[in-house]
This record gives sequence, structure tokens and C-alpha cells, in this order.
Amino acid sequence: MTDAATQSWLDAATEGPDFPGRAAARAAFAKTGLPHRRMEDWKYTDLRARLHEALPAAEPFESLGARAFGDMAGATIQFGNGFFVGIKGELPQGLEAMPLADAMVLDWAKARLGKGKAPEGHPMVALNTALVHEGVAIRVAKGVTAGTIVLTHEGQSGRQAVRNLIVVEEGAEATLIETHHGGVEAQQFQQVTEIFVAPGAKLTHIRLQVAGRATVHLGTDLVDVAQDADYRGFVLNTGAELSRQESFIEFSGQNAEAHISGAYLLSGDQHGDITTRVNHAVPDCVSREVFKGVIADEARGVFQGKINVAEDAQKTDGHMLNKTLLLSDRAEMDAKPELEIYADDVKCSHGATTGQLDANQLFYLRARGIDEATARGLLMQSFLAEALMEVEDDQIREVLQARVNAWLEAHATAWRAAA
Amino acid sequence: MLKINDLHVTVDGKEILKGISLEMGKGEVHAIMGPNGSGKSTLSYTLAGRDGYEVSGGDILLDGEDIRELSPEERVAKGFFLALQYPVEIPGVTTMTFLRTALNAQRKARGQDEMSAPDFLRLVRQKAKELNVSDEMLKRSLNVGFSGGEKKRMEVLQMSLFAPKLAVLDETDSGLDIDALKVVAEGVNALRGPDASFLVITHYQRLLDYIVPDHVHILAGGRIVKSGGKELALALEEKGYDAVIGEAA
Repeated sequence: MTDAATQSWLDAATEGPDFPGRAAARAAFAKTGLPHRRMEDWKYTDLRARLHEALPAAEPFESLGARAFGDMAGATIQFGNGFFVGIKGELPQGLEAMPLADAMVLDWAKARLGKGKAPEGHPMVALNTALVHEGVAIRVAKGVTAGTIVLTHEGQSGRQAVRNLIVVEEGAEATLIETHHGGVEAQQFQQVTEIFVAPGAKLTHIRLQVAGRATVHLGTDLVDVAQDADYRGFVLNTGAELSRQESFIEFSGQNAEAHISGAYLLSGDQHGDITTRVNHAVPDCVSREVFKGVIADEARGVFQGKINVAEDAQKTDGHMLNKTLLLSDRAEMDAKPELEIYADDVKCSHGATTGQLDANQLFYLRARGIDEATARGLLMQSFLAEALMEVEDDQIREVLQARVNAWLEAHATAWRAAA
Repeated sequence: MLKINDLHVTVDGKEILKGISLEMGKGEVHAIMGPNGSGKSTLSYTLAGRDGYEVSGGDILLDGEDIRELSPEERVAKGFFLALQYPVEIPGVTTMTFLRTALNAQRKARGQDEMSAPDFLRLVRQKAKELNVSDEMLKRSLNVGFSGGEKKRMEVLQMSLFAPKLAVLDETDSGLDIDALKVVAEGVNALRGPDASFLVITHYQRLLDYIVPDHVHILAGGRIVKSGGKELALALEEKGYDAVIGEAA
């Protein structure tokens, strides 16, 4: 017996452009249905309760893109309502980008599409495969240092299912900045990005999620990190009514490194979930996670982080940190860090704390003449610095920092008004 | 300048200060000495307006104005400064950013214009040089990774930058070796003048060899049990607290 919410999504997934495995994925999703709180991985984010009805499919929308990152990149790939709008500017030499449909006939894309590893039976990856209507495929050719490109997603209304493929070939290097923003109308945005960082390659992947407050934003990154490769993911989440950002990192070769970090700033009745899994399947890899958040009002944050270390993944070095500040006594944080280790010669740790601003620090700043609201803002900035420092590029970090500061300023004032 | 009259202070429901009276004139340096648990830090936090230090009786007048109801930042705007025994670390906020935010907040509260970036930089550099504070320290996160001596020098640098009318030094000598102590004392002495008063709170007489007080008060059990000139500090050093407090009782 299929519940009404799941049925609504199955009905939505009856047609779409050709995509490998679409029918099988629909059948798989039908079996699990929309994830709900009795499923371990979805305990804190009950999509069956929150996505009770699939919205009508979104219409193409001529987005003008976002300017959040100014002229930092030569080229901007623009999506509107989940549809490929176009590429503004000139792509760097050795970097190709095209609508997913165009890439599906090409060998480099065919070889990898659908190969990204999600946790077994992941219902939302299956649903994405069943629903996908658009996406972008990006390839950085072997040995090329491509610089920075921007991918903007502007949502307007309706249901959007996007599948992206990012391939960074051997020894290549690139920075991809993704932004998600959009209007006030109800939206359901779902995106799966399959990322392959080939041997010796490096991908820096920055995501700014400032979607509208009536948006459900579900994003999943399936990242394969090959030998000697380096993946640096960072997400700043301040938008959406409900968001879940998943990063599933799979080490497929030795001596590789992955850093996934981010900051979440939640207020009102927002629900923001960050879920990660790092699978150390092979020896000698390094993983780092630093996630920090500030939660105001009645908002709720979730962090679920898991590090798996396989039996022969010796010399694994994996660390995970999650810290949250709660600004109100109605704010909530659920943190679930987990280590699952089968090898015996590893360095792994996790830490998770939730708390309030430090009274000593607050007094110190006020005793230097700084008013309480400004002092709180500075301390929150101080608290978040550890996560932001994970962004290596100064210019990018400054843009993100400015976003963070604007949020903190707004909420420090709100706090003062309430006090 | 500062007039404290029969001050009673309660912390967590317990009375710690049990009727302190003290009067300081303009440009004077007073020392408050006392054994552990006598209420020294309670007095400094109360003067600074820290939450949780409840004035249950008496007055605190700064230049004739009752400051009991003022927030810490409002007291600072009126020319008050407290150098802390344990300066706090603030990771991710550079010392420079902190100093500038604090100075401009004070100027704003006094109705003055913010100081321009070049003027501010020039001022800080000059003060920093006098106190042996390196450029590198100014670029680092506030107090993070600073030694005990560096932290205290940073307190004195702030004091010098903010130019308060009344500065309270809460056990600024604790944890300092003699060289660091001299640097701090020189910094304070350089600020002495007809418009700056200092209340030096300390357990030991040592600091008072370098910052010579006009008056010395002995605090014990939440009361000032004896007041005198700088010779009182020497008597304490010689005979110890028990004997001197015993004489007073």
C-alpha cells in the first residue's frame, strides 16, 4: 500500500526525456517510498511529512543568473527553474560544459553517468533518476588548470529535478562555484551531482544556497576521489524553508584527500540538514569536515556525519567537527556524528557541540565599549571563522564572509529588538 | 572622580562586598590589596558592570554620576576601563579589527566621528611600538596564542589607545615575570597625568614598586579594613596579611 505522498511523486515520475535507468529507479523509489522519520538516515528530516504533494513540474525560465561572485569567473552557466538557459562568457580553455542531454551521447559522460555511489537504496537519488529533466555536464580535460566557473540556479516556482555530471580528468584543476537563489513562490528543487575527481586532479566546489523561503532544497553530491586527487567542498546554507545537503565521498584510490565543510545560518522556522558520509574504502586517505552553524528563532538544524573506514584502509586520517550556536531557547540542533572503523591503524576523530555564546567573551567585548548586539555579531563571526577558513581562495572567502556578516548583523539586531 | 559609598554586592545570592567606601581624586593612583577571596575581582567586575554582580546597596559615582544602572559599554563611553586578570581569546577576529571596532564604538557613543583607517593605523602602530607589541601580534586573532606577558601588554595597549579617565587594573601583575612586569608598569606610568586615575588591584606588593600609589587600601572579607600611604604596602610585604589585618581588627 503506497502512501498518498509517495504516490503523488510516483505520478509525477511517469514521463521525461530518455535517461539511463529511469524505469528501474522509479520502481526502486516505489519500494522505499518517500523517506520518513522511522528510517535511520531520515530520522530528523521527515520528507514524507514535508513533501506530501509533488508540485506541478516547473516551466523553463530565462534566468539572468546571479552576480553573487561578481566577475570572479570568465564563464557562468545559468539555470532557470531547473532548465539549462545558457552559458554567459567564455569557458576556459580545456573546459567543456553542455546540457546533460547533449553529453549523454559522448563516451566520457556515458562511462560515468549513473556510476556515482550513493548509500544503497537511497530513495531520493532514485527519485531524482526517475524525475530528471535537465542538467549540466562539465569536463575539465587532462592536465588543464581551468580556473573558476560559476553555475547559477535561479528558481521561480514548481518542481525541479536536476542531474549534473562533473568530471575533472587526470591532473586537471578547477573551481566550481554553485549558487542557488530564487523567488518567494513554492518550489521543490532536487539535484544530484555526480563528481569524478581523477588521479592527481583537484576540484574546489563552493556552494551558496540562498534559495527562497518557500523552497524545499534537496541536494546530493556523489563524489568519487581517485588516487592522489583532492576534493574541497564548502557550502554556505542560509536559504530555503527546508534544505538537506548531502555529500557522499568515496575514496577510490590511495593518497587522496577530501575536505567538506560549511556553515549554516538558520532563522524563522527553517529546517537545514547537512548529511555527509565519507567512505575510506582504500588506505592512506585524508578527510576533514568542519561544519558550523548559528540557529535563531524556532529554526532547526541537523548534522549527520559518518566516516566509514574499511578493513584494509590502513593509515586513514579522518576528522569531523560540528559545532552549533543556538540563539534562542526554541532553536534546535540534532547532531549525529558516527565513526565506523574496521581497520586498526587509523587516526580518526569526531566532535559535536551545541551551545550558547561564551559569557566571558561577551563581557570582554562590552568592557571595551562594544555594544551588546555588535559584540554578539563579532563572536558569531569568530565562531564561524573555523569553517570559513576552509575556503582556500581569499576572494571567494570574502564573498561568503560578507554574506555571513550580513546575516549576523540582521540577526544581532533582531536579537536586540527581542531583548 | 570616583566615589564609592557603602557598596554592597551580591553574587549568586551571596553577599561578597559588605559595605565598601572609597574616594579617588583626579589623577590619583590607588592600590587595593587583599588576600584571595577578599572580593578584589568582585569589586572590579562590579565597577565594570558585569551581569551577575548585583549592587544590593550603596552608590558608585563616576564624576558625580551614578553609574550603577549603566551597561558595561556605557561605562566605557564615560571613560571607564578595566584591564582583566585573564584577557579573553577571540579566535577569528584579528586584534586590529577588534581595536578598531572598540575604538570607533566608543567614539560613536561619545558623539564623535569614527577614526579614519589611516589615522587609526598610525595611532595603533605608534602605541604598539611603545609597548613592544609587534605588527605580527596585531594581525593575529585577539589574544590567541599570546603568552601571558603579551596578553597583559595588549591590555595596556588598549588602555593607552582608549585613554580612560579611570582605569582599574585587576591583578595585571599575575603570571608576569619581572621584565614583563616592568613593561606593563612603564606603560601605565606613561599614562599617568592630571586627568587619569588608576585603581590598581593586586595581591602582591611587587607591582607597587613600579607603579607607585598615592593611597593603599587593604580589602579583607568584603570590607576595606585599613587605608594608608604607600608604606602600608611595604608593611604588608614585611608582616603578611594576617598580621596587618589582625592589627586592624
